[in-house]
Amino acid sequence: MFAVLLIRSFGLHAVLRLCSEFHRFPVLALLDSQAADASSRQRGRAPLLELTAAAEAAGVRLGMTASQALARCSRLRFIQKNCAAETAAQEELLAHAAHFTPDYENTAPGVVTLDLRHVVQTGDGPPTRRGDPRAHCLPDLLRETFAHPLHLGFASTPDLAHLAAHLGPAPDFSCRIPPETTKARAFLAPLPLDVLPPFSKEDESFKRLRQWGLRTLGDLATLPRDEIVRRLGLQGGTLWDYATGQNRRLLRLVHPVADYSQDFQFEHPIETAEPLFLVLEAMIETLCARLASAWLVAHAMQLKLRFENGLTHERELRIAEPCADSDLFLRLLQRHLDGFTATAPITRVVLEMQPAPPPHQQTRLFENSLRDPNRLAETLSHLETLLGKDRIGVPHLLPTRHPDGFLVRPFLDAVDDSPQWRRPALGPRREGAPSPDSRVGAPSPSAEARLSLLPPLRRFRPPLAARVRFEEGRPAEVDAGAIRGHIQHAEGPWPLSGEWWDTTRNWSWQEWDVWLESGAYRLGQQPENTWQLTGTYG
Amino acid sequence: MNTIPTALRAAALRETLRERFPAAHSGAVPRCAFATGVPCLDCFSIPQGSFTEIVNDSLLAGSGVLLAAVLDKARQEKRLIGLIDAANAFDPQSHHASTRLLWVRCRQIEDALRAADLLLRDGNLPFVVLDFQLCARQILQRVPASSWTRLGLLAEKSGVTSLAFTPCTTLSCASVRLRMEAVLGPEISHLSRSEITARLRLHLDRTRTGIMSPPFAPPLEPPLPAAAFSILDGTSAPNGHSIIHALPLRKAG
Repeated sequence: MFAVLLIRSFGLHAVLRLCSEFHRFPVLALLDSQAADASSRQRGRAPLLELTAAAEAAGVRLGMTASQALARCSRLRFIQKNCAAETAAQEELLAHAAHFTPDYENTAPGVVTLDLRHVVQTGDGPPTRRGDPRAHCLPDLLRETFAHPLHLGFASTPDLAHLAAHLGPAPDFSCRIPPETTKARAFLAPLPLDVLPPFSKEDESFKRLRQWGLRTLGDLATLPRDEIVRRLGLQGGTLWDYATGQNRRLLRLVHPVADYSQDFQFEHPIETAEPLFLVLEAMIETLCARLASAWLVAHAMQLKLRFENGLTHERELRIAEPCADSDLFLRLLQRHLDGFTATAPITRVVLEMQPAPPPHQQTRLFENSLRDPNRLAETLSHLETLLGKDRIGVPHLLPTRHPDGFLVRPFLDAVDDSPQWRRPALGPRREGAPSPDSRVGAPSPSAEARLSLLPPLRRFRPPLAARVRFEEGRPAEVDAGAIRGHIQHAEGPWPLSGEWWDTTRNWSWQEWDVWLESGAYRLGQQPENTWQLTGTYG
Repeated sequence: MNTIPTALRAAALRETLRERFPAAHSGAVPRCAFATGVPCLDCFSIPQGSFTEIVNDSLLAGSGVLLAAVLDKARQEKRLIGLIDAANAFDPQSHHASTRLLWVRCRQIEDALRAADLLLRDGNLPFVVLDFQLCARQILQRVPASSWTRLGLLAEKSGVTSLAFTPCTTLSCASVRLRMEAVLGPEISHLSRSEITARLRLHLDRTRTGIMSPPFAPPLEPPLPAAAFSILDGTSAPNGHSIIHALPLRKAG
């Protein structure tokens, strides 16, 4: 099913929606914008482009010059055509159409054609939107949600719907043409030839039809198509098809510019969360509606806050399974902002959605193995708020030999297993392994294989300061507060160093693996001869 | 070990009660065993959707080795696993990298409890490991039993299997409690992880699952090292280190 949204006297309507003072004058006519710059004599010869119903009732007709119209009706007021106002009104009409379907055509000024085949269910009653639990009548929805008088037409083809929109005289009339050809012809028969598409009115064929004395589509439909094609060519055949409801064409769909971001500048800086959430909620609703209208979903959103002191806070919040659920995004933002403290009042907020096509199939085993990926994203966001961003995720080793050199990557960003660079082993040396001295700078033959040779370490974070007593060049006793005792066995030292090329960041120390009665520990010596217990084995 | 027959008797008593009063147990969800892939754990039939506590009184019991084995098996089988690190002690350089490991670094025990609550509620990760090994015993024992009970109920409801490493008996909600025996010595620096894992000894301390489990881990079939030593009998090894027991490991059980 196709629908056409039509605004009659679109030029007049576009100006009237902007200038409310003209509503005091019901008898109005639209003049070309060039007429205003011309002399008064030329202005009087300018033809009328559009009329209000009151002007038509007063005897004014289209095609008259301004002087002729004034002679008929002295109360007539003239309005200059405003292209900018028409563009704005057309955009409003297109936005209204986009709210109902992603497939729509910008047919002509004041005319938009909607392809509703995928979003509307039809039956004996009026058409309704699929998934609408209350089964609202679609024509009523289309009219009620638009602020201006709208003519509606529903039919099985775009052009038939366009003609149907012209059928009713009342502004709120909507018409539905049955799909059967014979019934459609009967419906269309009383329509004047003026309702034929705008491209055809200046055409020679259209003028010839008028010269033949044809006034309605019914007059045209009674003539044989072959004879019309013989006399008027292919264009005549198209007009005949149009008049009989048999013309079929594809819509030239509108592809709106993808802008899934919202920017809001507060008039006064805000210091509490409530007004921020009010704004964010409206932003998310708008952005999710935009995404849904384009049949897209979002896999992440980016929040940017600007503070009065010039600082900014930026954060990307990701979800595991892309969706356009505004409630979910709002909950994610709430979770994130629950644990956030601003350093200054907020002056501006920017929210941007990262669009993605809806997930139709399983693309990654990992993502789809989750029961409810979006719930996990919410839980992770909650955990980040609770613990901090760098305290939850997937451990990722840094390309350094520095002990405890790692970072925590977001869990949802984690990719499939891939070979990672690993530093050489730091644990006790196994028989046959390289000597302690050779470990510095020595490439690891197989990081994975070597890992399996070492007992795992549990680190003390922060390390425990220790005092160490040496005997014969080896540590003999350690005292780190709760952990103290005679060293039964020690292996080392393992000298370590790195970033020697940078005088500000270079480091070096040595480590021992020591055994006490209570357990096995890793003992580290800083260059300043300070000792630390950095972890425990086993 | 007096506790083991007691535990078995308790399980038998529960079974008898279940048979005689089936209505009182009609709401109980039958549980199946969760396979971690680590033989010395799986032989105890860890129930799915419940807590299993592994108590390590000594740092020489090898809980870190067992934890590494559990994480490594999960990595090999590409399973999602959560690690709630209550003492922030996990060392990524000592473990194989896995993108399916969610590491939660906590500052204190309360953080770990909240994180466990969230992950168990979430239910997306089927297996969650809680590492309390380096936490202070006094603080752990101050955690009210109701907190553990709530976590146990959450695990049961969401079906998440949880494994907790603790330095002392802590979890009142544990369906299975295992106790590790200190078996490690300096010789482990000459053994591979698989060899060390094969040395681990776990005892069944308590079970509430009704699944009959052996009181000890059955004899394993580890790859025998060329020289397997133990600190137990104090003999010296050929390479100059102290220690060693002469028995092959497969007879140690």
